[in-house]
Amino acid sequence: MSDTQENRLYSISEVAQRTGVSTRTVRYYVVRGLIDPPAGRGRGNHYTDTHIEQIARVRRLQREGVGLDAIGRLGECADSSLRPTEGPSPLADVVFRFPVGPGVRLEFDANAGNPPVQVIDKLVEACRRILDGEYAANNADPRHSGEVSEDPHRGGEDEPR
Amino acid sequence: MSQGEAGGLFAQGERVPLLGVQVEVNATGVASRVVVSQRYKNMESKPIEAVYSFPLEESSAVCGFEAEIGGRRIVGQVEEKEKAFEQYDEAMAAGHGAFLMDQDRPNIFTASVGNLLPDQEAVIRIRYVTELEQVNDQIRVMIPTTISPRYISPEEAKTMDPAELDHIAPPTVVGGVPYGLKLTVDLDAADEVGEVACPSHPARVVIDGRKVHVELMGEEVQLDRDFVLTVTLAHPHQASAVVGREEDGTRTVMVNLFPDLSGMERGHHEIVFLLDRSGSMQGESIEQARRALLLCLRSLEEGDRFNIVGFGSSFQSLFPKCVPYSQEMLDKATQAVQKMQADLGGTELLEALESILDSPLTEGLSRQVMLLTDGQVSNEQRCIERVSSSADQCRIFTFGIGYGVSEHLVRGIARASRGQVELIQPNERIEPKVLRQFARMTAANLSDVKMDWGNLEVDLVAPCELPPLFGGDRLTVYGRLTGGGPGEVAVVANSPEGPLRFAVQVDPEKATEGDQVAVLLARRAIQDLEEGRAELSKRKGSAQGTRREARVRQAIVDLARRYHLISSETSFVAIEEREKADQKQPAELRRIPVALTKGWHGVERMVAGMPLSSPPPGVVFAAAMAPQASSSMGRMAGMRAPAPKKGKKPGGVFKALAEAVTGGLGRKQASFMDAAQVRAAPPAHQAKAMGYADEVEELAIPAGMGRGEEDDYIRLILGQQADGSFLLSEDLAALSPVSLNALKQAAAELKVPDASLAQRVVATLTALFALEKRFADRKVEWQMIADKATRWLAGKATPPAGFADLTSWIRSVLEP
Repeated sequence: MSDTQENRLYSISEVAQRTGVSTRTVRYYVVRGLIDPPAGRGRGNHYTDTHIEQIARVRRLQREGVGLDAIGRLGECADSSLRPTEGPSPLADVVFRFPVGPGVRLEFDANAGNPPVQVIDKLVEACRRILDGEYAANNADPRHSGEVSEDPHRGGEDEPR
Repeated sequence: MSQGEAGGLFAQGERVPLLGVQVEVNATGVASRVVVSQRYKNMESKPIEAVYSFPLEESSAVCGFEAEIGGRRIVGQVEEKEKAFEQYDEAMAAGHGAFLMDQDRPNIFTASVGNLLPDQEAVIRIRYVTELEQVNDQIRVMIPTTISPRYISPEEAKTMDPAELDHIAPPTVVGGVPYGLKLTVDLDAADEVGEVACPSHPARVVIDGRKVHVELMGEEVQLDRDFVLTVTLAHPHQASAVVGREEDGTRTVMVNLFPDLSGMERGHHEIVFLLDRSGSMQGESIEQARRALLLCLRSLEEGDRFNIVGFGSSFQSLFPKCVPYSQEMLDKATQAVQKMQADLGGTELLEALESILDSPLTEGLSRQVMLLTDGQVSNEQRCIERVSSSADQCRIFTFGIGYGVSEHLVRGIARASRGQVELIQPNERIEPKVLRQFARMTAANLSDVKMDWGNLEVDLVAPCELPPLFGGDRLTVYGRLTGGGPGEVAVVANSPEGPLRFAVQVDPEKATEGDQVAVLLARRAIQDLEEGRAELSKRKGSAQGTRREARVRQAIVDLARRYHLISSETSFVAIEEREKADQKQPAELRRIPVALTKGWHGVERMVAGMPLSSPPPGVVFAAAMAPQASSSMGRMAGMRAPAPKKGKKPGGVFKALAEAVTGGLGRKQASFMDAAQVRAAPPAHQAKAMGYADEVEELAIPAGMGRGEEDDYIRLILGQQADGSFLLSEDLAALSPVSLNALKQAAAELKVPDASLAQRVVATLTALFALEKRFADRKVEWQMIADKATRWLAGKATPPAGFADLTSWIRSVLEP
């Protein structure tokens, strides 16, 4: 979206007034990626008619019962008959993370039912034992340790203890 | 792992930027001043905006908000809600530091800490004043710490403001959060203090005459349950009047009265028990509710009508409509209650309330509802408005159950319907509270209750409608003075036994400097506006609805600005102007996850590597015990939590995690005010709490009693029949010093034509004897049950020769 459009420029409160939502919700939609961020930087940032249209669309979908996560995944697709299944909000992505070996972590959802503590305990211990002992003894090359990683994108930079 | 990464909680892929929360309570006999400090640190390489939603006491008057950042202190200003956000948003966009605090519900608030730069720290300080709750001889301090997940209906999800919805339903963590709570209470009770108990947490208590100092044991505890402190006073029920003088000379008076309504006849009522059976009640909450219901059923009397309604996603009535109280109905209800589970899904309270409020009234009876709930709904306001519109036909007495009840819901409903609230935590005995509520429900009706301000002239009174009078409860009324001299202020009423007057002397000249009383008055006045009781906000048709709403909004804003208060219409905003505000990178939002309320949905055990529970609640006395408190020390000793079992050591994941945190070197924990270190939950001292889980459950037994004794007590009470009598049984004999046969022989001595009636007389006398002998310290609880039994006994039998009355005769049988 460019500033050179013949769009009018609005402050956040003007946008809120025109769309019937609170200023907090305008910004919440930005953070959730449901509408574009305001144009411009710093004090001069502003909203345009495009933002107003985007907010109206999100509100309409919400009233039709589509969750915000689903709306987010709909992206630019205006067809509300596409109803992707609900998923967790990116803001609710909370995990317990346990480092168990070089570049290897175990992760558990923090806001869902987890395995009982004894099971997690066994998992952590087992992973450590495999990585420290059995695996290390049988395979001295640490580059292979990534195979048990729960989080392959982040592996590699850690020492176990 | 010395240079490696520590384990712990990660939100949105990053470490949680909240380091700790500190609460300092300073209370006098009637009100308290509280400072809540939250310490934040950005541990990322980019600027962040930390947003934390948290609960405060309902009705608290939040009158201060400031931020400390980079050695600067920035005091927050009260602005209209939308304007405050605009200022905040603009400052953020311009690269300045920005701090905002919103009221999302009267008991849920959100702090936004904007533009925290990498490695930067900030402390937010929130100040509020609140009335101290007092019932009978007990002061109760309650500090909520976490927001329980709540039921949001599909309809609300569609229509509610999305940002507000996000605030009232923050991401929840099962298994504890890495930031902890430090808490201290200093109370000057203005009266000699008896017992002090902390049913929610292990605490260190020092009593010195009228003063009490309390601090939580250990460095920090999890924010997973309300903190509760009860302080018993030696001389309660002393009426008082506090006059405060603001800087501009305006005086405000806070009048505290304790109406004595003892000895009044009980009326007959239609009583509906409304029980929350939604999923969130699973576990101990539903168990407590069942116990409460069984007790209440025994306290009903012939002439009353009753029903039991359970609600969840739908609601179910035990009877199609209220039925007359009889043995048959009592038996049916008892059986049903014992089987009741938290199996009805969501929490659609409004529909269940409406079905009760809309059903026709029985002529000649007043309708009372006892609502038992953990109060996790999102449409509190609609529920409160609905009961408010029927307040003249139905009073609702609420029970907030569990570690994290929505105070706003249970207090708001009780306030709006002219009922009363009781809050109960799993470690507290529910019986005295249930029976207290029941006594209030069935108390005689008073009419023409009003305030007599005597010589004083007032231009603003709060609450604007006088709350109902209940014996033993404190009645607090505020007035802003415009003139007049010293004299008596009173509440007057008419009762079936004649006119009543409860008074206290007020001298406007004896004023203390400060705005505390005025701020409390303003908060109450705002509450009247917010909850539709104030004249301005009363609904009178819809034509001028919008204009009236605007006027109400303006009235709230005016009061909030005048007294520097947060409200539904105002927020606090503070801007830290930065010289080099040429920030390239916009701040990323970090939503602070909150700990799941302990006991929620029956989730008791720790699940993901961190303890859900702190060490078991109880009270440990400090060595510096004042001599005059020593008498209560013995009593308190019985309340100490059981010692941890030997040989139970923290281990498992906890050990793994503790190692991860400390690198196995037992590094000193960062405390709240220390400079932040890399923090990973939980602190080592909490690790030790792991082994306590079993003992925590055992504390469901009321303090000072063995399980056997408690069982006996409950069994005894539940043996009472609808008419007030008891039946002779092995169970009852087991509670007496003699055998069942001996009791039967005694019954044969009575000159009663019907042998089974003789046995019931003996059984009833024996039950009364057992209550007096074994449970004398609970007389307040069983008084109604004993009264009912005594009424049944009247004229049933004459004492055998040589005895003046049946009581002396049964004594000779039971204590030969």
